Amino acid sequence: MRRFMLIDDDEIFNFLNQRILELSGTAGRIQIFTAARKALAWLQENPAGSAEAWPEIILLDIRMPGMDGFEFLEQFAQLPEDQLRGVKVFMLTSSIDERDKSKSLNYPFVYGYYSKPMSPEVLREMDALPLKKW
Amino acid sequence: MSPGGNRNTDTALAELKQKYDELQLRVTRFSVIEQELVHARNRLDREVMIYRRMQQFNSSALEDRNETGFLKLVSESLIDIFEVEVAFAALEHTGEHAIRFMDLEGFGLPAEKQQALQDYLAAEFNNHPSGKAVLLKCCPGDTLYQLIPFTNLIMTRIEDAGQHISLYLLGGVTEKGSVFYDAIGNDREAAFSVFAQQVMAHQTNRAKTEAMVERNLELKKINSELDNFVYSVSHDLRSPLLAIQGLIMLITTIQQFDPEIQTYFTMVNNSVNRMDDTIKEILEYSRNARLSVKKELIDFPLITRQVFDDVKHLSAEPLEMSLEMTGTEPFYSDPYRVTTLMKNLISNAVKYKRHHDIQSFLRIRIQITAAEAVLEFQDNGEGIHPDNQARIFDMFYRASNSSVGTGLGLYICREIVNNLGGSISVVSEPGAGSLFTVILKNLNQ
Repeated sequence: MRRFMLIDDDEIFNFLNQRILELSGTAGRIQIFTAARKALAWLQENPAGSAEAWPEIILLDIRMPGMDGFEFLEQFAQLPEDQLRGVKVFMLTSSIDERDKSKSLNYPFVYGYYSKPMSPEVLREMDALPLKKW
Repeated sequence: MSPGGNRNTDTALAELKQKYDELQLRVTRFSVIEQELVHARNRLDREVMIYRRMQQFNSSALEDRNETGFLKLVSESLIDIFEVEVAFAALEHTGEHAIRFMDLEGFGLPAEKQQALQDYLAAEFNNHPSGKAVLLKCCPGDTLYQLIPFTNLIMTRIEDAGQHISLYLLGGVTEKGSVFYDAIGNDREAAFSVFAQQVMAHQTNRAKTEAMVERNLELKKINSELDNFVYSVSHDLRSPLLAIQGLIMLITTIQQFDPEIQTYFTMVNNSVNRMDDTIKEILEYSRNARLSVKKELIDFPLITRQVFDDVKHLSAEPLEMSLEMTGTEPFYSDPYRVTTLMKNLISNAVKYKRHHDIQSFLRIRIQITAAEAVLEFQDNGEGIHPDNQARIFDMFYRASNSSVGTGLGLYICREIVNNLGGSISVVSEPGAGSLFTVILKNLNQ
């Protein structure tokens, strides 16, 4: 059972992804944030060794009001590397800009770039990807 | 000696003397001529030098610099070309400000005298016609001589054709010790006027170039704003469509419906997909029309693989695709546009397959030379009726009813080919297949 974090300002997509996760039976804990800033704050406040474990998979939208996906990635990269190594971040977006794709895949902890909506097949693909050594 | 002999001697002496005198006269004449020639040569040398210095000014003036820098160059060139001791240049823009005698400081004047000089010069400039240089003589005791200790001033005012700008040039010179004063003679005013005309021509060109650069920057800004706008709009339009797609996927995952309901869901999904394609293609069109062409090394096998991965889901039945490359030359073009072009052609082969009866294929052959790349896309799909072949590259033209076309794909291909330099053509037989041939210029230079 995996721990997931969903970050999207659009609640329909959070709901959709949550349902797909639940139906797949792979999800243990599912955390949902409609603001990237709040998601980041949670990650900062729960360092390694604290009561709450970090998510293993983060699904991240790009275009969001306030802190957008790229700002989140930039801040996320500042967190302790040991912890980052245990997380797979997947961009889940309606952007079709190739530049967004290459920009996000530059981060070692970003494992993939998918167009919305996430299908059960895509979820299986994400889940099956082994953690990289970096 | 005989008397006849004496007479002969006298005559001979007289002739000799006469010849000698003539010779003397000639020598004198020659030396005068020689002197004239030396003078003429010196004058010529000086004129050549002046011409060279003007040339020098002309090429320097073409370099990019602001107005103050330009006027400084003009002042320095005045000193250099006309060998005056002090010079200044000023521009007056109609309606903006009065004459700025910006370099009057160079005259080394105390502040209280500056205003007096400005007033004097302003009046003096207005007394003379535009474009004509005047040489003012000022003797000790004159107002001007009290202000600036030069025996001569050369000055001109010139207006541009539209009379929006006036140019003022001024040079000061002392009679003694000035090559300018001694040598150039009557031509100095003419030379000064010619120089003034040149300065004005440069100024007019500079103004035009500046306006063009500004306009270009403005256009670039508008373009980038438009791109952001189109990008935002396409994103905002796509989001709800993708939510609908997701919801249908969720509904059909949760529950099995009877075939009729299932068909309706498929129809909703197809409509949503088609609208999404249209939005994406409008974005592609808009980008191709506005973004500048980038030259990068093109990796055709990589692009082909990526595109094929992206489009293979468009149809449930498999399509066999192969890529054959010939030529070892590196090929340079715009990667975004080449990808879009290939995506449109490859997805067409996927969308317009014939169903069921045969194994569908798409054979891509790419031939690269130093000059161009020839891309062939051979499929065995439904083909295009001869009547329609001429129009398939037109905007919103759809030749097939069998699939989910938007009528933009091939139009965008043609636009891209026009943008990158090249051509696109088709040979097709209904029921047998199509061969699209794209020629793209190698942008390796």
